[in-house]
Amino acid sequence: MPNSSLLIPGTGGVTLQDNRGRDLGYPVHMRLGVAVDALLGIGPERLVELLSMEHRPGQWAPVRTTLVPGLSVLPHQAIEAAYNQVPASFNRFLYDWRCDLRYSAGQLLDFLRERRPANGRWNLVGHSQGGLLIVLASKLLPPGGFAELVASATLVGAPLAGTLNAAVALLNGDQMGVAVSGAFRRILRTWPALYQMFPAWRAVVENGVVAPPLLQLTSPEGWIPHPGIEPDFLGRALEVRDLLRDPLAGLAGDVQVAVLMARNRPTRLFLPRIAGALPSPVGPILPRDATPGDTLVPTEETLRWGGSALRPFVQLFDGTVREHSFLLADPLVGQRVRFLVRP
Amino acid sequence: MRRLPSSLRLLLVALLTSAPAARAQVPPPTPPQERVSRVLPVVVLAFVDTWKPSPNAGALYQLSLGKSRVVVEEGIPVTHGPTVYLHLLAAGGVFRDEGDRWRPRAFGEVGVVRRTNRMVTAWGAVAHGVTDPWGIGPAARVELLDNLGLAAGWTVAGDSRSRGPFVSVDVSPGVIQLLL
Repeated sequence: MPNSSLLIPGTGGVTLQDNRGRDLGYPVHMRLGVAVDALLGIGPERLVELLSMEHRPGQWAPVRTTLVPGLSVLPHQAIEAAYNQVPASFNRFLYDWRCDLRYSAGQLLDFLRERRPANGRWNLVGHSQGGLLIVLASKLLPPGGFAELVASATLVGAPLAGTLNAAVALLNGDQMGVAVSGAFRRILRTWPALYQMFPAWRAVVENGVVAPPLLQLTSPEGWIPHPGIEPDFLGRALEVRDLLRDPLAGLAGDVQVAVLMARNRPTRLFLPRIAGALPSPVGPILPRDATPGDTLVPTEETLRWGGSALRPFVQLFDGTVREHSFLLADPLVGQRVRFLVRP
Repeated sequence: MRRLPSSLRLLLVALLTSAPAARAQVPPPTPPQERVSRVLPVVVLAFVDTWKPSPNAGALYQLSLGKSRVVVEEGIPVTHGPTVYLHLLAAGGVFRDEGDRWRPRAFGEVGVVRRTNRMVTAWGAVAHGVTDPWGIGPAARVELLDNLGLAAGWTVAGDSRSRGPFVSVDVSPGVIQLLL
């Protein structure tokens, strides 16, 4: 039997449902609903209760996936608009992308083992956070263990060195519109995955100079006076950052590895402190704070993080390829992914 | 000094020469310089000289006129994709005739689009055609976010019942998934 293929979507790439089978409507219906609620004068508190999570320090799995009593939130389906150039023959790995990346990586490993094709292996395609899950899953096994399950791993727009967009999301919270950004900031600050994608480089600057470590994003002092930033989650960010060092080490053996990145759009590299604090909201990217990337993954910083061990596996795209969220709706990237599948 | 038994010596040699490399990943094959294509199933609403929509289902196929270009920079292949594509769209569905009866109809587009790196992901010029009553004509086409296409033009030749303004909207199943 030939190998099977699996797409692991990125952050926000899977819709969410509750345990009663009701789709939460993320993102389109939810955004419309928020707008209607605002018109009707209904506050966003129910949204905060619905989408916030609860975690216990030292435990990867969430304690609660929603604060609504008696309810749990589950992954539903991949957002196909973002993946329309990934063949329907590819399985989709559905996961709650808000969770601790290590928890999600463990679930991916369980999936790979339990549904391993008979006499075959998996071709994995990970977009964005999905690529990080592949790297982390490979590190949960002893050396060579991942190669018994996986024939190829293609990472598309994976933020191996992190992304400033994760921190900006915690500062802006405008995913569902400016009107509820305050509520959404509170919600997002309960999602460990965002913290774990913080940049590995010193991204915070003050007066044009890189800020000291105490004021960087993984330090609690760096977030004063913004409420709701969990020190436990900052610690989880550092733990995952350590696991992402030498990212391809767990993919040793007969595993074809490809790291696909685009470098045709300005991407945040620095986040300036203003008046002694991180700004909220964060304004548009200024040229001096930008670097080439795909709007989320900075190319050169990622290459630097991966070092000489990463470079033989990297393929870059330039020109008119789509921005980060739609890389796998781009015909060139989609064709390359299909080319890299090992039969 | 005692010599090691030959069997043990052989075992040692085998162990030493077969020790796996710490990193033995397989690098990806060199990216080819090739024409690029995409296929996308679509649902089409066509308005042929009427405000009553004609629903259709089909697919679009786009093939680049040129090949991608691969340049190696500091050992890393960088691919620059082609920008101009041949565009084909074929769909079948129904429309309401003058007696308000639903009748089958086929719809198609052929033309050229140019990709951009903006939210309007492609724009171009196409010839559209419909069957029974038949009609053909030119249209301008734009695509949004690689999931939605809009064409507007004029049916200039064919049955008089088809001649006149023409508009079509095609959406991918992914868009329908988000809206439902």
